[in-house]
Amino acid sequence: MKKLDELALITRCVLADDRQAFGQLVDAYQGRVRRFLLNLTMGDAALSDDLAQETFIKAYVGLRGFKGVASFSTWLYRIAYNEFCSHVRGRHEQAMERIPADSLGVNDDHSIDASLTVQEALCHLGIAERTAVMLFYLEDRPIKQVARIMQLPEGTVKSHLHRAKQRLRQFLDNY
Amino acid sequence: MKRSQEDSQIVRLLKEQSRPVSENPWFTPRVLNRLPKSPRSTRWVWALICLVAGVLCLGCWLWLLRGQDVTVFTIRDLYHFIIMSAITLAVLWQGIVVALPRD
Repeated sequence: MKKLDELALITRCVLADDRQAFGQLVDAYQGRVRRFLLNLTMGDAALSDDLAQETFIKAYVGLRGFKGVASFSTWLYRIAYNEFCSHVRGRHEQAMERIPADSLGVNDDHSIDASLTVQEALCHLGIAERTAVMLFYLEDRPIKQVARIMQLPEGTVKSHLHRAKQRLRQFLDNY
Repeated sequence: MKRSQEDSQIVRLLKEQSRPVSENPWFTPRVLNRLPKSPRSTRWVWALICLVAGVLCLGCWLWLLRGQDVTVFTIRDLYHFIIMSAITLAVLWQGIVVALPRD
């Protein structure tokens, strides 16, 4: 979606409470937001869809607060990330941070493929590290945007990425 | 931050194992159904803007028709009529949109 069209839709939502315009924004961004949350929840489709719905509802409610300094997608990702964090906090899901490897169907023999190994490795990362990895590598976002989404200084994001890379390397070297 | 060869390897592995998002045609309707009702104040402000714009349009039409020479109709007059018609239709459309119930 072009930035101008996006701005026109946001203006229609804010000024005239145009829900059809908001529907177009949801259509345009739902795929990316759902994929981001699906990766953060380590493949829980139902949970990621629920969180994505909450994300868009919060975006609609807070649309007047959107200043346009960051892009709309960065703003949406930030809401999605906050939504995921509050879900984890709310349910005291420490298990989300470190999902046991056997829950992914990984066994001890070394015949597992590389993709499953990466999944397992990601499970061993903390939420902040995993989010930084997802945004930087998978979503191809620059550090500046990752920092905005995670509301962290750029240096902290870099150290999260560095730590995550070390852990991934360590993990992948074993296979 | 520059991306190294190792970064490219991570990207490749991540993209290979990235979970595909299934199509969900009901996602947008569900979100729209769950949106909170709009605050009345916003609609009143918009309705007021439409009303003022409508009155201005009426004034402009009266001014345009009064100054109109019935015998001579120039290209400029046609231009004015087209612009005024477009503005009036836009104001009327917005007025209808605001007046219609949302739910």
